[in-house]
Amino acid sequence: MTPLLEFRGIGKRFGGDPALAGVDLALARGEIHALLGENGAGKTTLVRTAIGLVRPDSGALLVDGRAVALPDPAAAARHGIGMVHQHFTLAPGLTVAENLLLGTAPVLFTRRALERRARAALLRHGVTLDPARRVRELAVGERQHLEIAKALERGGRVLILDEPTAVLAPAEADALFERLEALRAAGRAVLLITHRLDEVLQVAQRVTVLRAGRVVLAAARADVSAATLTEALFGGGLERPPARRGAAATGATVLRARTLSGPGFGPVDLELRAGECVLIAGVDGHGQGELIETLVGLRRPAGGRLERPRRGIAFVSGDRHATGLALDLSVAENVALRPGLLPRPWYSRRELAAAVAPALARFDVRREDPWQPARSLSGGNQQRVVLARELAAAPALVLAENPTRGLDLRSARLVRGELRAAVAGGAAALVATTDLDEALELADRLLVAHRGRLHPCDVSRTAVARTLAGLAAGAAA
Amino acid sequence: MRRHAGVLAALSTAAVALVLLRVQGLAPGAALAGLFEGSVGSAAAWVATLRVAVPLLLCALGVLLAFRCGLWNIGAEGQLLVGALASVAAAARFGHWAPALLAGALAGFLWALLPALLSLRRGVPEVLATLMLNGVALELLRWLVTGPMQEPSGQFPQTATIPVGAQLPELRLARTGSVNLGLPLAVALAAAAAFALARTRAGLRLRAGAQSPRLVEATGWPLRRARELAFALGGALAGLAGAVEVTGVAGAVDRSLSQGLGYAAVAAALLARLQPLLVLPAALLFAALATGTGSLQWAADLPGIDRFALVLQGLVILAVLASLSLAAGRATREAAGR
Repeated sequence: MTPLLEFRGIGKRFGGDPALAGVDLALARGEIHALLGENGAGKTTLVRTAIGLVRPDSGALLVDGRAVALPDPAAAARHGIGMVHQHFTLAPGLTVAENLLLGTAPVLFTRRALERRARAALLRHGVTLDPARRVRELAVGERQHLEIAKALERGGRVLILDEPTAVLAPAEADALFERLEALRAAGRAVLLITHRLDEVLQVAQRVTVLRAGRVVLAAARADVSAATLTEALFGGGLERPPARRGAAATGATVLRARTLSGPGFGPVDLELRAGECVLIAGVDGHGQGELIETLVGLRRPAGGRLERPRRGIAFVSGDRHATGLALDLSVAENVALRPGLLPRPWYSRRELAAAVAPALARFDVRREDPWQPARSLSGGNQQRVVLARELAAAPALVLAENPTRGLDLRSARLVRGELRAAVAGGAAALVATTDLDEALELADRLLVAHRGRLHPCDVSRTAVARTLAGLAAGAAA
Repeated sequence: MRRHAGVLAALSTAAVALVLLRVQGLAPGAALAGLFEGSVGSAAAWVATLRVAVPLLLCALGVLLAFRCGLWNIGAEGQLLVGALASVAAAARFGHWAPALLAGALAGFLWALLPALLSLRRGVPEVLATLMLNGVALELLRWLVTGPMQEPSGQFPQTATIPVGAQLPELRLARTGSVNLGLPLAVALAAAAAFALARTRAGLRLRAGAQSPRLVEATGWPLRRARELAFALGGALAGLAGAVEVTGVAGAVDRSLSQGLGYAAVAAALLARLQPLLVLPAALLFAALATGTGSLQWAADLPGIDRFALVLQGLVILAVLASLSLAAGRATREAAGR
């Protein structure tokens, strides 16, 4: 049978590195197809080619076996390809009916007529929602059903969902999967981007795993297990020599959390000692970010106890735009934001330059001009500025979240080296990362995040794979 | 591009202004010459322009302070009015200008603190809150000058004139005129604001927090309280402007006290690209426009020409915003292309 939608040899390059290199994926009628991959593996770029947001450099997109050009989202919609974005595209002030029929309503209409039409459409798409309700009153799960109905109403035969359960409660997720299953049975095709292995095993008929822009696994559900998926996700091949650093840390306790909980995570018990580097591995969206931000002090815990040092907390964020830097401020000013760096409440330009110079030199910010805005630096140099601010003063506690996200290899290596150096210098470090190689390289101790909780795990690839598979299987069962 | 935004704005404003003058049936050359004459053409004109520039400068500094913290204070007008009312009361009570200035600043501080708290603790958009409070302040003034604070004879809708001892000291500028203490005060405050923003830890953190609040919050610095304080200090500057106007120029408060100074201040702050020292020429420019068109009306007997200052101000704002966003768009494109 001809696939409904087929990606054939799709290639795409942004700048130097290929984001996609010859990706094949066929989406059959009546199929839920899971698309997996780490951050930066190319999932988003791939689906964007299908909805007309990214134009591939090479390869072809086939709808019903015929090559089509999809220059913009409207063209994709004409071919029946619809997408439910992670961030909804509904107008919160409008009603369900208005949102649903926004594109197809006649020039003039009465409210009653519109709602009547909407009711019929919702019935047709199997969604039970009151068409007169305003979208802002809907629960997140209900909004998602409305998004799906909207895509179907516009003639969608292929539905692409980008991490749809990231925002859902478990019961809502189950309702969503029932809905997807009904669509599948009705002969539509669903492409499901997800980070969660348990969902894949639960609902998908086929699985494709991307790694660094290439398909590393394409198989039927029956032929994969959580273990093989993890293996494919994080790169199989030979087990690296264990990166464990032997003896358990015996330093003083720097941070202690007891049954700590907050939105997205918990309860978490955690103890960090000086001189140890603890890694939190696991795919995005399992509460790691929220936990780290709570430990930093950016969020208030909802429950539990937290003891942390009063000063000397370094925070290395992978989000250089919102949390890492003030991009319009100069490099020197960004470094000077470290508490205690400027001795007096006021300073001269010369004093500022002198205060930040040692840190900039030590972290090799290879720029002569500390007065240029941080925005003008490359990503790697920006992260060096973050390190220069956060690590130069020998912190007692280092908290990091995806510290090398979006960095090239060289810069990533430097960041990891500096994190280890801080630990060697007596700091306790807690690093959450979705990059398993990074986790294995850095960890003295490893925890795996799953649904907001942390599970201890040996520092080895197989142990992590086994733990993740076990957790996924447990959750799917 | 960004550097030339001001020049671009001035040129396009001048072009449109000439067209408008033409349409009104005025010889553009003569009108512009009159504008120039009446604003900076003589020592007396300079004195008049400077008098208008002082409250404008103070208000512009006030809104600028909030803008640089990432908050939008459109309420200088209201803060100025309550400052003026408070200073009249204090002047009558104490008979000296110093407590009058303090009272004006304090009233502006409190009038601005309310929207700051509403915005940062309750999520009420500060643009809306400050704008609404402008109306409240104006109505408050109208009620007070016809009721509790009306001058003793009860004939005019204005407050009593302040005692002589409460008048701001005058500084002799030229043989023909003098300016009051407000001018050096405002200039000093502009310098202080520039210093505070660019050369103090708190200023640095406020500027960083305007762009990346989480970055500053992660250091444990009480960013929210600092922003509230900075916003309210901006209100204090606008309140001070009201006090200076009362003790230095008007001598009493009536309904015509401000006439949109607080809104012109927003424009001046934007024209100065939010640089405290550049607010000096920006305020001077707007003041010159106002006095220049005023004298033009007087000389040419053209009713409505004073409104022309507002038209020019509007044009300047539009031109500045357009050229700034052009520059910003280009910077973004360049950053994306890298």
